[in-house]
Amino acid sequence: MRAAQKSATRVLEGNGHCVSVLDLTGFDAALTTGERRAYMTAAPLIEPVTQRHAELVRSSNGLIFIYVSKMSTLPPVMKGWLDRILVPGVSFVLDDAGHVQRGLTRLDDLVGIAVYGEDWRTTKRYRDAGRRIILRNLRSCGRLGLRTTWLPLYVAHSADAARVKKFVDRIERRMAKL
Amino acid sequence: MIAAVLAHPCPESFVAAAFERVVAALSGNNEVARLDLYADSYEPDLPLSCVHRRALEQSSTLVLVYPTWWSSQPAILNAWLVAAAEQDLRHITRLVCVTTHGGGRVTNRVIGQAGRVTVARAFRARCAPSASFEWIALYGLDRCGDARRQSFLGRIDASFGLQRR
Repeated sequence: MRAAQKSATRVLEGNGHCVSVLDLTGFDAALTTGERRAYMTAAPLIEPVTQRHAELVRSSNGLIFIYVSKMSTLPPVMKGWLDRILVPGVSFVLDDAGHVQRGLTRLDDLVGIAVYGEDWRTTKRYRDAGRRIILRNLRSCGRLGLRTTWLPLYVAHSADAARVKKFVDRIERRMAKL
Repeated sequence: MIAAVLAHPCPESFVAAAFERVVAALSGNNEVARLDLYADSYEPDLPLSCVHRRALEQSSTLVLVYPTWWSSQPAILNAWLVAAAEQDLRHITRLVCVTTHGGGRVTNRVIGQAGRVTVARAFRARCAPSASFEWIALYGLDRCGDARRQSFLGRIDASFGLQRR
């Protein structure tokens, strides 16, 4: 996972992109009572860390999610990141009528790099909720021409060096096109 | 025994009211374990507490009450489900989600219903092979009036009233 992130970062920086790596180790996953009460107000971001992350999201042209799938969905800490960072005014805007308007309109690319314990067939049978959250729900917050990319590695625990290398090569090829 | 799980940070929320309704509807003829993840200070990434673990071991029905955020469970409940899946869950024969959505039914279909598939597919695969799955959902909470909220609470009564043994 780290290797995937490092090679993606290297390729992107080589192409002149400015990359911010947000390592979610130690990030508090649970939206707090204070954050929930502030959610519908004009200032829903009440912590310095969420403000900083939200500012990075607002100013980015691409979002890349790198994760290990847990129970066929995003790991809790990444789901918590969505709950706490992508609040009204960041990824979507609630207009006066209460309708949701797209907020990630600066975004050109949305990418998921996912490592699964299950094989392809089981992942599809479980309906791959993590992929759905990113490529469908988050996608719906971006502009119409937004490009999406999904880079999966299945049955990761039994992946040998050759398969890992193929996976990393594939990531590098795709990152070179962003 | 029935385990009822609540994942909402605010006791004054509509979801918390729905949870009370669930517990009240079930309490008639069942012993109900109230597992309020925020009130019990559940810490994501840690194993379940003894109380939660024992409640889960003794329950054949698991009811999850939560708001749908980003088409899925709040992260605290995601974490709890991952921790619960570390246990043997093959004695669980009935799974129920009671949840609210800000957006409408069609919108939620389009954006993938990730929370529903997580419980109905991935989590259910760890329960009894014959485990049933029920979905009691309110859509369009952001703009719905009191009448629809009341009818949703009525549906909770109906769903669990039938189960009384």
